[in-house]
Amino acid sequence: MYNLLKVIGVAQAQRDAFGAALREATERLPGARGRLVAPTLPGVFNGGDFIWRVTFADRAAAEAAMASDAGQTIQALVADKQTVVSLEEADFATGHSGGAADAASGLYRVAMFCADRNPTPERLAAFSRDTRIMPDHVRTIQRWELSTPDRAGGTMSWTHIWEQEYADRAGLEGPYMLHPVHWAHVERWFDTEYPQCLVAPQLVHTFCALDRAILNQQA
Amino acid sequence: MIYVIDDILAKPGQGQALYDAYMARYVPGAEARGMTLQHRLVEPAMWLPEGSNRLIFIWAQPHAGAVWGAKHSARMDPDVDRWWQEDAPPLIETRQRYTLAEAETLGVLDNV
Repeated sequence: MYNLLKVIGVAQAQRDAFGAALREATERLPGARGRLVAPTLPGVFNGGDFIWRVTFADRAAAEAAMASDAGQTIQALVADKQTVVSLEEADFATGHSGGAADAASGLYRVAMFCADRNPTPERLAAFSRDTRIMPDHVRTIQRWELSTPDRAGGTMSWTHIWEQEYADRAGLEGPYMLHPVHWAHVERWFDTEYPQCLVAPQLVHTFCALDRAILNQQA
Repeated sequence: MIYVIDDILAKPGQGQALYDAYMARYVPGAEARGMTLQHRLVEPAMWLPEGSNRLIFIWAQPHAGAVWGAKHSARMDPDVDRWWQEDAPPLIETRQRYTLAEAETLGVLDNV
C-alpha cells in the first residue's frame, strides 16, 4: 500500500470551509483504498488542525490520483498560504505493520520523526527494531505501521512515520506513555541526554478520532 | 522508584574537574526538574592526576510520570543541551546513561 499523509494547520476563521472542501475533494480522489480527513483533537504537539491520509494500491495510483481534478484541488487547498499556516507531509509505502485487522478502533495517532543525529545504518536499524517491539508490550495498540517516506516536507525532513490505532484516547495517553518499553527503552533514541540520541527534538505528535480501521488493512 | 544513572569516564587527569562541573552546571537544573541525586560515586576512590576516574551519579524519581516530566523540561532547556554537547565533552572520555528500576517492581511497571 502507498500512503499520502498531510498534517495541516489552518487559520481558525477558515477551518470549517477548508475542512469541507478537503473532504469533498478527497471523496472524489480516484483509486483511493482508504481515506481519512479529520480534525485533530486537543493535546497534539506540532499536530496541526487536520489530519489527511489517503491510501492507494501503489505509488503510481497515488500519483495518478494527485494529478486528477480532485488531486489538483487538494494541492491548491494546501498550497493556499492565506489559509494553511503549517503543513507537515510525507509520501510513503507501508513499511512494517502489525496488529489485529479488525480490532475496535477509535483513535488514530501519528508521530513524524527526523532521525538526523549520526544516523548510521546500524543505529537506524536498532531504532526501528526497538520501535517495532512496542506493540508487543503496549496492549492498547490495536494496529500499527512504521514507515520511511520517499518524500517528506515541513519543518523537518521526516525520516520515520510511526502510526498507531487505539480503541480510545486513554490507550495512547495511559499505557503507551506509561509502559517502560517507552520511557525506559525506546526513549533513549529521543532523549538528548542519552549519548545514543538519534532523533531530533522537533517532532509531530498528532491524533484524531477514527470510526474505522485504516492501518494494517490488506485491501 | 525509578533510577537514572550517569556513568561517565573522565579524560585522564580530568576527574575532579568533571565532578565539579557536573555538580555546578548540571545538578541544580536536574534537581529543579524533580530528580533527586542519591549517590555520587568515584572509582577509584581518589582523584587520579594522570589516569581516568569513573564517575557514577545515581538519580531517583518516584514514578514514570516524574521521568517524563523531567525529560520534557530538559528538552525545553537549552542549558541541558549546552552541558552535554559543549561544556562536558572536553572532560569526558566516554559515557552512558541508564534508566533502571528495582527488579521486584518490574511486574507493577509492566502492568499498565
